[in-house]
Amino acid sequence: MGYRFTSARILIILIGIIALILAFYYGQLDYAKTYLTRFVREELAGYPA
Amino acid sequence: MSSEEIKKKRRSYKIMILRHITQLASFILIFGGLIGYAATSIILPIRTGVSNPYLTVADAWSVMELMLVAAMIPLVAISVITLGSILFGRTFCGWVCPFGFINDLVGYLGKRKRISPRYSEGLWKFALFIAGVLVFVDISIFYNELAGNSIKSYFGDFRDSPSTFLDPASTLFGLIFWYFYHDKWPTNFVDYFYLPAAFYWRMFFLILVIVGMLYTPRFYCKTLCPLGAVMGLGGRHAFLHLYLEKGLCEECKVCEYSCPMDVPILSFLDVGHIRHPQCIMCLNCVDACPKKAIKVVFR
Repeated sequence: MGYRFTSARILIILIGIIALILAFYYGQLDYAKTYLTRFVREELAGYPA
Repeated sequence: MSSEEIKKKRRSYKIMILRHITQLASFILIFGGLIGYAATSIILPIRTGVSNPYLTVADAWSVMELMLVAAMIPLVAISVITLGSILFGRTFCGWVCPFGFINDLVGYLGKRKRISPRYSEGLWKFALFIAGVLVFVDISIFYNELAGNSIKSYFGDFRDSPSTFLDPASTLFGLIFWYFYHDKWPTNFVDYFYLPAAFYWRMFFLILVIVGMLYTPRFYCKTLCPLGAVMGLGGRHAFLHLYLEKGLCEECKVCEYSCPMDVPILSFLDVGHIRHPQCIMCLNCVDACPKKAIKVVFR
């Protein structure tokens, strides 16, 4: 495993952890539930009006 | 090598059976509303869309897109995709994803033709290109929404979720489900010609993908899935991956012939670590290898 490989790994992990921390800080961790508990018309292109 | 020769050389089917049981259990739990489970806040790197009312977990790509189009930074989806891919590669594709399970099941009915492994990385790059275009469209909408200059009208019926233009999973689990649930199917033959235009395209694309699945295993996963392609980016550096022992390998190619994603496994003979962006960790090769030369490692 070279420097490029290790650097890419560290970068991806850092992006993931920072995104997770910020998601927690901005209260996004429960956001998915807002889609799963309503009629998501946005994804239903082709559904009759 | 003929399928008969592969079957003779293949060591076992145990992991394959375990994987399909896991996929079935995941399918039941993911659509757990059917058995009384409530929706959770869990986001997984799978393809189901978010419009099915029985879903208990959300599709990371759909959440990412819906949040971008609503001018929000999808931090939670980004964290799931990056951490999921760097830790486990595309294991969710192989063991959890409901649409991947559908791919496997339909694939067993079909011809199961191999695509030459030398095209494997090219197909991944094509899927990555599609992912890039979709992300570009989403970010363009995001930016313009923030600037107060909505460009959504340019995308017609797909304005709120452009990815659904190329998303057979949300068509199958969302659109078709709701047509049945609300009894929207026309009763007269003539009325079939008056459905929204987007419906015809989405159904055509779904049928095209199903025909592709009948031709080659995991057709959608290896050629079109944007989430899988992005997970493959992290998967090239994943902790969980396969290792090929050069001393044990007799280069019989049973592993390559067993691989549904057409990964050129033997090209990793000198390197050892198999970190290919198309590898979904299905472990068909581990099962198949008569010399047990392929192992699962986490490092």
